[in-house]
Amino acid sequence: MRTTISYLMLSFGILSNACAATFQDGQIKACDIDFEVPSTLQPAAILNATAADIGKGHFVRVYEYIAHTFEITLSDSERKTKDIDTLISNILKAQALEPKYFDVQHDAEVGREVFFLNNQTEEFSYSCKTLPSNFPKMAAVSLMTQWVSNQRDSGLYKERALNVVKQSIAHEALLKNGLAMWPWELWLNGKRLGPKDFDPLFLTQWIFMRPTAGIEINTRNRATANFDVSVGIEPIGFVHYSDQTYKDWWGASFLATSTTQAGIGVGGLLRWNNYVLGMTRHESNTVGVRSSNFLFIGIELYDYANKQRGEMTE
Amino acid sequence: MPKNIVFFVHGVGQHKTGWSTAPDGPVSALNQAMQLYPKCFPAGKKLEDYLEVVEIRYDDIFDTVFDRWKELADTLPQNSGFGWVNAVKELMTATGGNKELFLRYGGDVLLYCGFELVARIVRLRVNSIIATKIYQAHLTANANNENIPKFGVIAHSLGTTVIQDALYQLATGNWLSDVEQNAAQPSKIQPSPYLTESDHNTYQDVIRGAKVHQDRPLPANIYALFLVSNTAPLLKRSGDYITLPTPSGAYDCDYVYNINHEFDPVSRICGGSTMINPRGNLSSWRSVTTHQIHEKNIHSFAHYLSNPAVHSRIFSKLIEPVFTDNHFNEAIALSKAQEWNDFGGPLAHLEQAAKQRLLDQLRSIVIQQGKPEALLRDAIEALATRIGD
Repeated sequence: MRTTISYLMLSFGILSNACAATFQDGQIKACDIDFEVPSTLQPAAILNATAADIGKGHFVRVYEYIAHTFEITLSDSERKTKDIDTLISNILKAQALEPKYFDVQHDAEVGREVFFLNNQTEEFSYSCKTLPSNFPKMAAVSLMTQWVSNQRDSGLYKERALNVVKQSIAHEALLKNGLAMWPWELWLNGKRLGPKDFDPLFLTQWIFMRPTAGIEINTRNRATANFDVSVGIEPIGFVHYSDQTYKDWWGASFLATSTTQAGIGVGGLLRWNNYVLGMTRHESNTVGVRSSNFLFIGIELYDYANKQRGEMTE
Repeated sequence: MPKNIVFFVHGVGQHKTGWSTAPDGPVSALNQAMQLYPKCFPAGKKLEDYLEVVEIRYDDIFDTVFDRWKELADTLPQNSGFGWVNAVKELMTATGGNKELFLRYGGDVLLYCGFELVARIVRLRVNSIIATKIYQAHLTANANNENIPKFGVIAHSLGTTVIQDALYQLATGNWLSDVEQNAAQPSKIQPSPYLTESDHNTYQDVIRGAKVHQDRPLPANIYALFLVSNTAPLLKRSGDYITLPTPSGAYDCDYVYNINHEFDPVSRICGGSTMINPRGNLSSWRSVTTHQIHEKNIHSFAHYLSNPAVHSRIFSKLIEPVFTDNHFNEAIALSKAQEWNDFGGPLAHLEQAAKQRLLDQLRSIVIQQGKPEALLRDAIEALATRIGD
């Protein structure tokens, strides 16, 4: 019902266009001149005749009506001119064309009104000094066809906007909320993206040569535990996000450390959000020092554990 | 009659919210330019009286990348035991501490061109603003029984690459592919700064409208694209938007203006100033070369827009019912005056030796040999600091 009312309002002559050729009060205005348009090509007449089809989405029938109504205002010789033949042909196949095909633009650089500007193979234009007598009728049916095509496509712009925004929010969430990536990780994970921006963003992020701060504790001999903050390297690993808010993740990585006095340690770690817990094996080459297993506690987990212990003591 | 909508897209360097309307921003430059045509624009009129201005900002994404890198570096101890980790930490700390300097000297170009994830985030930000605005314009036009306004984009420097990449993705992406899925399962996205709650509530209207849509991408539908100091030939990450056809064979963008300054090293290194009309003989591609030197940084957005040969095209295309052919011809005549082809403005009375030194410096940037990426970084830094000293 709302749609019908809007069409009727249009028919009273408030259709306008922001380009040079405008449809105002039943007249075509172009090159600063007002041109009369036959009553059958007035927006009111066309909309009254086609409102039901527009409302039902039968746009092809609307285009056929516009083309037919235009044709019967033409003489045989007029109908055969190339420009008009092209225009009618385009109106009849308007369902497959974009609304911009029916724009009537003004080009100040050359002082001309231009039809079908975007057709790559042809465009035709008329000098403001020598507009043909059929120009008002051509502009009228072209702009009406454009208006109908815009009605057809209007709802789709919302769908597109929603999906673009959704995709944008997800990507920015990864950057802001997700596990921060070092430059080489940002580069590497970028290489995994598809060629199109609408391709879904990954939920599994690769980890590569990632420095990780933590504490190493010798599980065999706590007396030699190294409580200094040290750095391990995760040669390769991954984290998996629970959803596209990228706020929660879990993951696993290989781990290498070198900061205790027991030589290089090799092992693995598990990650849950910012908490990291791992195990490494240090094979000793020093006489008298035994090989040991070390517990690796990520700095955030270590801080968390200390905080909890402090609260319990209090 | 609805106002046409113009998007401003910034280039390299830091741009805070409100950058477009800042005293040295493009809107201020166009407001000042309007005063050259008192017969067309009465005193006191502003650009916003004729156009809906939409500012697009994306450099906060680069800020976030830097901030996160700095966070990472800060978590590491001073003596890690791995020599190269120390070096990385020092680098991160240095770049984090000098973020503004780094971005000002072209670091954002490196981030955009070197990291595909960053580039995609930037493009999606740009497209989320454009797609939402286009949708809202359709909504408003339908509610008021008006035709859809025209959409213009004025982009500068790195922004010319960003906007072409973004529009290519917008126009070629199948953003409507999950219509059926969404019909079965309504979208769970959270209200965003770009869409109102009522937009989400009327989501089913979209599903109904989409049923008449044929299975093809929806064009971006930009009417006029102004590429000011065009960097896309060297920096672009996506396909070629300016020659992109719609599914039925039309150009997605109606008019493209390739605007470059004779001495601008950025567009010369990037190939924008030497572009040949990629659309063949059609009049929908225009190249404009400017020559005036009214400030030392000839690359600046405002410096370009102040030139009548540039702003007349913008006014003519986007404020066209008001800015008539007569006004356009007046502007083109003005653009041929010596003031707009030589030293002028605040530099009009510069001593001859200083003028020559400035010209020599500008020329010297372009004729250097080396990789384009390195030359570009050096040129941006030179424009920001050394030129004219």
